[in-house]
Parts: sequence; structure tokens; C-alpha cells
Amino acid sequence: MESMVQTNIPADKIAVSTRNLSKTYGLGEATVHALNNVSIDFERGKFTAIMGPSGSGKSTLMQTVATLDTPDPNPATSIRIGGTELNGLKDKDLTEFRREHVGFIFQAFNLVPTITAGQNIDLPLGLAGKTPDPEWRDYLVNTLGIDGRLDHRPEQLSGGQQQRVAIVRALLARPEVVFADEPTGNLDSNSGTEVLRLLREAATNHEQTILMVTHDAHAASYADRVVFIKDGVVAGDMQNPTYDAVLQAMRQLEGN
Amino acid sequence: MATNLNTVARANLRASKGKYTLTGVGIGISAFFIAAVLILMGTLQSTLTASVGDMYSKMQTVVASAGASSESTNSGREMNLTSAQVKALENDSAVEKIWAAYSVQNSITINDSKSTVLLVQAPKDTALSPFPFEGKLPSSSTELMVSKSFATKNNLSVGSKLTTPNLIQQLSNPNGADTTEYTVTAIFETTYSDSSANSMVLMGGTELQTLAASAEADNATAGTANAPAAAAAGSVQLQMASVILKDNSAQARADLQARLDTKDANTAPKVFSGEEYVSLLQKHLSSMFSMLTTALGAFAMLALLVSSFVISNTFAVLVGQRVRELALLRTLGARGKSLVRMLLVEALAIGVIFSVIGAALAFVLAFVVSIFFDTFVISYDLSAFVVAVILCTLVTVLASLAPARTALRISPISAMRETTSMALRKPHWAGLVVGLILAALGALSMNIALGNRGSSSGLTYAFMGTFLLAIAVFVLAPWILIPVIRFFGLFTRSQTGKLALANALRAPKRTVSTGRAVLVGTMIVTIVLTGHSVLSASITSMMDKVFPIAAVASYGGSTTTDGAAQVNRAESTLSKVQGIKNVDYAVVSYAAGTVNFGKATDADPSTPDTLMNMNALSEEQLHRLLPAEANTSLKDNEVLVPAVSWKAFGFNDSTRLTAKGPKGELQLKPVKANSRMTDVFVTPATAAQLQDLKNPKAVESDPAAIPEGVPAEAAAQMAASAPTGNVTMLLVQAKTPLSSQENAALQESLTKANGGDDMMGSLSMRQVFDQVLGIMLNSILALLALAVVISIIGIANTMTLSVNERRRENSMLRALGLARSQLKSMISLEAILITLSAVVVSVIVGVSLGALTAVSVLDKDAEIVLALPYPALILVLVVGLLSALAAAALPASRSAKLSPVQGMRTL
Repeated sequence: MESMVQTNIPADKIAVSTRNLSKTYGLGEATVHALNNVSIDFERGKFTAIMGPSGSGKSTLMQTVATLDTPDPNPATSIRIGGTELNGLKDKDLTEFRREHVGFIFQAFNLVPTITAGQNIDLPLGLAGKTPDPEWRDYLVNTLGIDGRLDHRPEQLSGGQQQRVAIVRALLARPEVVFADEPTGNLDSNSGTEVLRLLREAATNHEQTILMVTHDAHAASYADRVVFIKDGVVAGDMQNPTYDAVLQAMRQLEGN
Repeated sequence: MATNLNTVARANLRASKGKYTLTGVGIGISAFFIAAVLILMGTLQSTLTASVGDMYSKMQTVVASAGASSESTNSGREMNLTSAQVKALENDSAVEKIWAAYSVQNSITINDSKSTVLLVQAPKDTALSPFPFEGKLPSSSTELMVSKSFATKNNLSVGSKLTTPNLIQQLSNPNGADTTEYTVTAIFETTYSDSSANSMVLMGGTELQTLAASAEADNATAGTANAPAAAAAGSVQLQMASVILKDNSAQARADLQARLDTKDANTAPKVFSGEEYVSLLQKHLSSMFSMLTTALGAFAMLALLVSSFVISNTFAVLVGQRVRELALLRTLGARGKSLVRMLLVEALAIGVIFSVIGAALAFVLAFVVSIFFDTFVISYDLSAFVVAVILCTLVTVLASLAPARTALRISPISAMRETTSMALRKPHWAGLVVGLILAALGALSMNIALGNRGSSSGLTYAFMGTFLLAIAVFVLAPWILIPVIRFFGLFTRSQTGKLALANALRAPKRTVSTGRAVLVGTMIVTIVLTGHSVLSASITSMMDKVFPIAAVASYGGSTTTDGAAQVNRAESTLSKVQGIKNVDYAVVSYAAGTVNFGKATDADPSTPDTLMNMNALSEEQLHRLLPAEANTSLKDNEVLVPAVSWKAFGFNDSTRLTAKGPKGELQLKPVKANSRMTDVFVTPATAAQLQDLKNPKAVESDPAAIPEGVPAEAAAQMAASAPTGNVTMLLVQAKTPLSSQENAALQESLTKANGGDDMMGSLSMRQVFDQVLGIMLNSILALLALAVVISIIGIANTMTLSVNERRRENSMLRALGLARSQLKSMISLEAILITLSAVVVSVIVGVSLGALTAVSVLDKDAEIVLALPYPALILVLVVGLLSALAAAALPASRSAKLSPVQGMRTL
């Protein structure tokens, strides 16, 4: 495969890193090794895609790194975001950490249905007891084109608009890292392309670190780097991916 | 303003208005009930206080007797002030004026219409008049002051004259008083229209005072045997005197009380201000009401308890539905504890809003009542409102505590998952432990109750046991209901039936929530109905034993002169009675003179011999009338005596009793009766030797029966009240068993046949008992209805929420080919499965608990009749099923209307 290099990132440029990360489900014969001793670094300010066939463990990788799920207990395990060691922290501390240091964009059900778009955007910072930077907020809202929609509730927005609201929310606190789980999965191709473009911009123009899980080669082509996962281990690493290269890499992965 | 969890809470309240409304209604009903109860109690208090107390509130100082001033109504203290005390007051230097309010129950007859009045000695001074009046205070014993309502009723005005039997003479000679003309010199007006003071008639002069003084003197010299003299005085009372002190101060009153002190708590009067005395009266009234207050309070608590179950249930379902949203909030940085707090805030808001509405409605109702019934002094006490709101809000928050805390178990990862994992989770083992502990405690309590049958402690333990066991069943519902549902599910054959069963079993928490809502209402209803039924049947059977004869009428007695006429009455009534439905046997038992039992074995020698009336019954008549005496033989020259008398008077086989009649004397051998009958019987042949059966005459009293040493007057009285052996009886036996209605109908027919006079016996006792039990049941029925309503609200709630929760899944089934009608029947079947199982469990538990409670009320020797209210139980089942179906119908049809695509669209 072309450009399948194990990337080495200088220590001061690492935004997110894991060491010896494992996650198993089930017991005995039904044991599933979703992640098998994964160690990997992600560079700050870069847009990284995590790709793999279904059941590869890519979602599990993102969920454990994002502290949404706990990995198998192992003293050697390490999860660091922005220099903070997260493995072993209590739920209370992880929760508080997430408010300002991590942003989330999900495939669906991103927004709290009962409050308005504007209130959804301000919620994570509000939980931390802070108000957002009004200039940055206005900029994001205008750039993502949702300034007329802030008083609407999620049910009154289209899928694409909901995703854009989610993106504003995710970027607002300028977190160490934004995790995006199949953000274009539910969208039509136009809206999807729009979302990818915006994520690309955030990384390029604002140095926002973005980790995106996807199975879509087109989406991956927007990233600076693609990490391939198969059967719970890192199976490949590609810099400056193109659509065709990614497609071919995936075929090879699935074929093996 | 920053966006935080409060924002989410507020938004959620606005968005979920519909979901919370049903729950809120339950809270509102409880608040309404509590506030209404409190307002009712307050109203009864103030109404009665106004009715009784308006006279006293105006008085400056009240000197009350020891009995009238004690805090309890039954103190055994001296109820009247003495003439000496009145004199002391008159002469006291601190006293300016005094009105000794001598009073006695009396009657005034105006134009042949007789009214009962309280005759009171009028005050001499205008300042002491209890009410404002027009005219002049009555000064002589032919002058009267009456109330405005009395005057209006009898067409009197100031200056009118009325003629009535002399009010003073009437007291000692009710029928022989001379007609006297009285003048109405004044008319007073009470402040409260329904005041009991309206029946007061104040008379001038000092006749009542004189009467009271002479009664006092007689009592002092002759001792208690002088009942006639006291009766002649007509029991003139002087419970209080209204006094005006020169110095209107608490100190002056205290000093006066010290001067009047007799050093004996049973006779020492107390001195109050007018308002203080009214407060004392209020205390008397409230102690009368304490039982009513306790009963109503218990009902209110029960309503609250039922509501709390429903609230808890609903919240559990609602939280389960919001798992994804709550998980998202966790992901965005909300802590578990904060989510719990947010949910509790929502519960608090619901609690406050709906309990305020409910409590306010109670006040509205009170206002409406006051418009229609202006005699009630409605107590718009704000504390009723505050208590209701606080109590209901507190219960709401507490009830939602456990469901809210499940939010702690939501991990952020749940946000990623499609399914609502909470609903699938198995019930927590802590519930099993708590439930089993409660069940054990409840069983223990019941055991103690059964060991203490018939005592009040037995009843208390039974209530506790019922309470604990009912709650235990509620808590253990997951482990009880699911297997029962599985059992009933075995009978489903259709595809939709199997789907329904699978749905019910797949989400145990949701299923159990619905089942619990049914359990609550059904168990309460079943327990109460069964308890009532068992109690009623058992006591009825007990009564038949205690009062073996259904109905007895007596004709003749000490004042009878024409015995033959009495016998005629008895015989004609007999012919009427024999035709009445449900009469098994009736017989005339002719008068047969008297028999002398002698003295009881433990009696004082100074007591007279016990004489008993005798009546005639042949042996066959006896056996026919009283099946319990089937083995008793009664021959000539024998007398059948009650079993208790046999024991009490120490009879044995060698005893011979002297029987007397106008025709002669006999020695009779006593025979012991088997049943609990209390009459004394001889054979007609024996009776004929003593008495002329068709024209009985009174047996002359025997002075020899009265022991020596009894004063002549008392002896004469005792002799006058002795049995005269000329009472003809009509004895009626009814068919058994009779229902309450048949019983009442028979009693009524018998009374009619007897010329309007009631007949006594087991029928009349049963009727009284049925009435009392009926009143108790009816008052509980209101509560039952409340419980049922709240329960149905709970069912509707959980069914609605559960159907909505599965919208996407149901739409998917539609997409796969399930027809609309099949979807509806699937949902209905699930509702039926759950409700049927819950009802069956409730009925089994409820019947057991109700029966056990009833048994613990009955005496140790009482026979228990386990009569179950079958029709009522069937009704319970039907109502339960219908409510579940009705509750599921609306959401089911809405669900079925959605196109598969609409339903599967995610928000």
C-alpha cells in the first residue's frame, strides 16, 4: 500500500495519545477483543480519520479515547489528551474534563431535543459555569450559517442544520480535540460535503485537532491522515490521503 | 443567562406538559383531598364553637364548676356550683355583678305544639344579658325572654302573652301542671343563626335557684337513695355563673379563683375570661372530633400513599424514556449527581404546581358549599392550603427520588446506543431483599394480630401487617408478576399474542410499572371489600347465637289492667306475622306468672331476690322455635332457665324454685337451657295452674322479697318495678341466612304487623349492626373510589408512555407486514396480559389480607365465616381489564395510524 507509514510525531505536537489500550467484551467463548493493545499518537491541529470495516474497533477506539467508555484495567494503559493523563481518573473528574477540553459530534441524536439550538450550543460551557467568548461564538454561528436558527428547537431543523449546530457547539470551547463519529452518516451528499469542508477549515484555519471515525472513503479524503483499524489493531497509516488511495487500502484490508 | 441543567429542566417541563399532566392530576387529587379534610375539620370546629360558644364569648368573666371546667368531658367531677359558692360570689368584694345561670331542660306547649327548651333563670342586670335584646329583662316568674327565632316561629313579640303548663310545676309533675299565662317581656338575638342558644327561654324570679337549693339540701341529708326527690327538682343545673369583676384583669380572676378554692380538684371551680372559656369549649369539641379527625387523616394519608406509588412509577418510566438525552448530557459534561438534581427539580415543579391547583380547588369547593349551606362557618384557614401543598410536594419529590437516582447509572456510552438499555435491565436485587424483609415483618405482625384476636392491639397489628405485606407485594412485583404473566402467556396461540407476550417479558421494568399501577388500586379495593364481607358474615352468625330468637314483642306489664286485650293483640299480630316472607315460625307464649330465682351466689345479702317473668311454651313449640334446644326436655312442673342464670344463681338438680301467679303457687325444678336465650319458660299446663292464660293479671308484689333495712320509700319503689308475670310474648323465628336487605325488610314488615312498635331480637340487632357497618363501608368507599381513580390514572400513564416508547419498533413491525388491526390487538393483548396477572395477584393477596384483618377483629371464641364478596371481586377484575384496555386504546390507535416511515424517523 502507498504511504502506509507509521507516523512519528514530535512530543510537543501530540494532542492525543494512547498506550496499551485494550477493550474486551463478553466472556469465555463469546469474548470479543474490540481493541488489542493499541498504542497511537495524534498530532495537534491535524484532521485525522480513523477507518476500518465494520466490527474493526474504530468506534471503540474513539469511545475509549474520548473517555466515554472505560478500557480494560491495565497499569500500563495510558490515555492522554493535551498532556492530562485520563486513565484511572474518577468519573466526576472525567466529566468535568470533557466540558471544556473535548468536543463531540455524533452521527445522530446530537442535540438535547427540548432546548433551542442556541441553548444547545452554550450547554457544555454552561455546565462548566462559563459563558462563551461572544466574538468567537458569533464568528462560528455566522460561518456555519445558522445565525437565523438559534431560537429553533432541533425538531425544526434539517439533519444538516442539526449537524452544523453540533459543530458550533463542539468548536465553541476551543477544546483540545473534537471527536466526530460518522458525522456525515445521516446526511445527503451536499450537507455531508458541507460538514466535511467545515471540519477541514477548523483544522486548517484554527488549528483545531479533529479525530473522525468513518467508513466512507470520500469523507476520509478530507483528512490529513488516515489510521486504519482492523480486528482491534492498527493495520495501516496513510498521510495526505486521496479518495482512490483510501479506497484501495480499504479493499486490501477487507480482502485479507 | 448561561445555559445549564436548569435550562434543560425548564425546557423539559414545558415540552413534557402532556406526559406530566396525568401524574399531576393524581397529585392534585391528593392535595385537594388533604386540604378539603383540613378545611372540613376546621369548619366543623368553628361551626360548633359558634353554635355553642357565642353566648360565652361576650362574657367578661365566667366562673365554671369543676366538672364544667375540666379539659375532658367525662371527668367525674362535680358538675354544679353550690349555693354556698354562689353566695360567696355575691358577697365577694371584687365582684360587681353576678348572674347564676340556673338551667333545666323543659318544654313549652303553645297551641298544642310542644317544643323542647332550656329554661334558664334570667339575669337581674342588663349588663349580664348574654345577648342584646329589645324590651325589658323578665323580673318575675311569669315573665319570659325568648330568642328571636323562637318568637318568629311562635308568632310572639315583646308584650305577647302565652299560655302553657306551668314551667316550674312541670318539672316535678309532667302531666299535672296548671296552665299559666306568661308574658314575653324581651326578645334576644343570637349572633349565629344556628346557635343552640336559640332554644333558651329565660325566666325572671328565683324559682330555679330555690329548687336547686332544696335539691342540694335533700341530697345532703338522705343520701343517694333519694332519687325521686332529685328527679322532682328536674335536675336543675348550675354549671357556670357569668360575673362582672370590678377589675377586668387576669390577676383579679386568678385571685377570685384562689378565694373559691376548695382544695379538692373534684369540686374546685375555675375562673375564666369569656374567650378563655370558649377555648375550653373548643377543646371539648375537638376531643369529640378526635376520632373523626383520625379517620379522615388516615384516609388522606392513604390517598397520598397511593399517589406516591403512581408518581414513582411514572417517573421511572419517564426517566427510562430519556436515557439517550440524559446520556448525551453526560457526554457533554453533566455529572450524574447533577442529572439527579435536575430530575428532582422537575419533580418539585410538578409537585408544587399541581398541589397548589388541587388545594386551591378545595377552597373553591368550600366557598360553593358556604353559599348553599349558610349555617356552616367555613374555616378558610390558610394553614390547610400550606400543609396540603407542602405535604404533596414533599411526597412527589420523595417518590421520584428512586427513579431519579437511576440517572446515576447512565454512562455516556448509552448516548451512542440506539436502544434504551435502562428498560431492558433486570430489576435490582436490592428490591428483592427489601421486599422479602417487609414481607417477613408483615407476616410476623399478622401472626401477633391473630394471637391477640378481639383486642384493640390485635387490630393495630393487623393493620400494620396488612400495610407491610401490601407494600412488600408492591416491591416484589417484578419477581411475582413476571412469572404470572409467563403463565398466562402460555394460553396465547396467535402470532400477535406471542408478540404481545414477548414484548411484555422483554421490558420487565416497564411491564412491572404498569402492573404496579393496577396492583395499587385493586389490592386496596379487595382488602376492604373482603374485610367487610368476612366481618359482616361472622358477626351475623355470632349474633344469631347471642340472640337466638329473631324477634320478640311483649304485651302487658305492671300498668296493664286489661290482660285479655293484650292477649288479643298478641294473637292478632301472630296471624299477621305468619304470612310474612322469611318468617320460619311464630308462636304466642302466654304469660305464666313469676318465679323467684333467689339471690346470685356473689350478691350482697341486702339485695332483693331476683324475680323473673315466666311464659308458656310446650316442649314441641320450644324445639320448633329454637333448634339449639332440640335436645332440651321441658316437662310439667319444670322451668327452663337461661344457662347464665343457672351458673350465676348456683342452681343444681335439687334446687326448687317458687313460682307465683294470681291463681296459686308452685315449686318448680329448674332445667338448664342450651342456647343463649334469656327468657324463662314453663309448659302450658304448668302455666295454667298459675295464670289465666287468656286474661292474665299482674302478680302482686311480695314485700318479703325485699330485704330488711331498706328505707320504706326505696322499698316501695323496688316493689313497684318488680316483674308482674302478666306479659304475653310473641316469639318469631326467621329463616337463615338472610342478607342485610332481607333482614331489614323483614324487620320492617314485623314492625308494621305489630302496629308500629318495633320487635326486639337478633333481627333488630343485626339491622343496627348492618347500619353501622354500612356507614363505615360507605365512608371508606369514597376513599376506595379515590384510590381507584388514582390507580387508573397510573395505568393510563404507563400504558401511554410504554406505547409511545416503542413507536419506532412498532413502525418497523408495520413495515414488515403487521396490519394496523394486528398492531392494535397486539398492544391490547399486552395490556390484558399485564392487567390480568396483576389483578389475579391482587385478588389473592387482597382477599387473604382482608380476611386476616377481619378475623383479628373478632373475639377468640367467635366463629369465622369466610364469606368472600364474589360479585365485587369479579367487578374488580372487569373494571381492571376495561381500564387497561381503555388506557391502551388511544396510544395504540395513534401508533397504528403512523406510516412506517413516519414512525421510524428519528428526532
